[in-house]
Amino acid sequence: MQTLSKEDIQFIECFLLKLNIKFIDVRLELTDHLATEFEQESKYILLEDFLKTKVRFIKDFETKRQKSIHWSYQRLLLKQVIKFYYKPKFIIFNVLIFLIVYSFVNFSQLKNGFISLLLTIFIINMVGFAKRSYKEKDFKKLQIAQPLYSIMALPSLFLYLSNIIKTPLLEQPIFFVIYFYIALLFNVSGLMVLLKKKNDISNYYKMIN
Amino acid sequence: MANSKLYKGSLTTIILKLLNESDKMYGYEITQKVKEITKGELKITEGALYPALHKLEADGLLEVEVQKVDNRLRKYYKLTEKGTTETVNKLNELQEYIKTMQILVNPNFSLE
Repeated sequence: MQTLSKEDIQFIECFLLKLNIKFIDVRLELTDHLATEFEQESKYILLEDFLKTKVRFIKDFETKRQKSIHWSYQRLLLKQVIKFYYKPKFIIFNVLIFLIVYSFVNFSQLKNGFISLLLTIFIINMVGFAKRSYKEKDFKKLQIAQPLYSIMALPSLFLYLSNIIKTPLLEQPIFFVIYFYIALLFNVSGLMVLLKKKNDISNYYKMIN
Repeated sequence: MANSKLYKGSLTTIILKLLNESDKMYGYEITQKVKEITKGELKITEGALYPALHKLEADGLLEVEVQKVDNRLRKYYKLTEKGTTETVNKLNELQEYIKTMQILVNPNFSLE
């Protein structure tokens, strides 16, 4: 069994870059896999000939990983929302959210409530935006960080929708409570998942650098 | 080589089981270990292995560790606490499945 030199490893890296594999976390795993396979069982003498047989695998690798990460983040968001119903520390927070939304109906303050709750959701989204934009330059190099931008996509829908359905929200207190309760729950959950994943990714980035 | 379609649904369980027996493993090592254990009867392709590993990692069943090995970085996978629990569940599920299949294929078969 041969061991590839530093130059060979760089050659693999360049080959991957030529195939437009731009994320360093993807290249890291692919480079090691391709190098190990070539070292241990390749029938090819030239590294380039071996790599040419792997083009399909390389391209699929990146695409499938992207999908996998994206959906896992969306699942995490839904899991976090569900946690508000069975984890004691979140149940308290859940009840609090409901009471805050309900208080606006109770005191006949629907119009003020609409503005306050919309502003709260807006602030949560802005915090999420600011957090995901911080260290953006480093995160742009990681595939694992790309779907971070989509975690708040579903929660932010409530923000855009509220203006469209403003009239029924102000006319129907029950609709108002349900809408803003769910909206707050999703937005808080989204922000929590975003912060946790951002922290995990920062640690991963430190590990590979 | 065995019919790979029959093994497709068990790929996750195979990966979890192997990682449960080792401290940590990298992708290529997993493919070779499976080949070695099954004496070449089952070959996990890289195209099937990595999506499964990435899904397990994304779901929090695996965590990663990066180490420098032979002029390059290597990504190792290891089970998380949640992954260890899931391995037990998956293995139980698989054993139940095998038992049911044996009963179906050979109705005279009994484990008692």
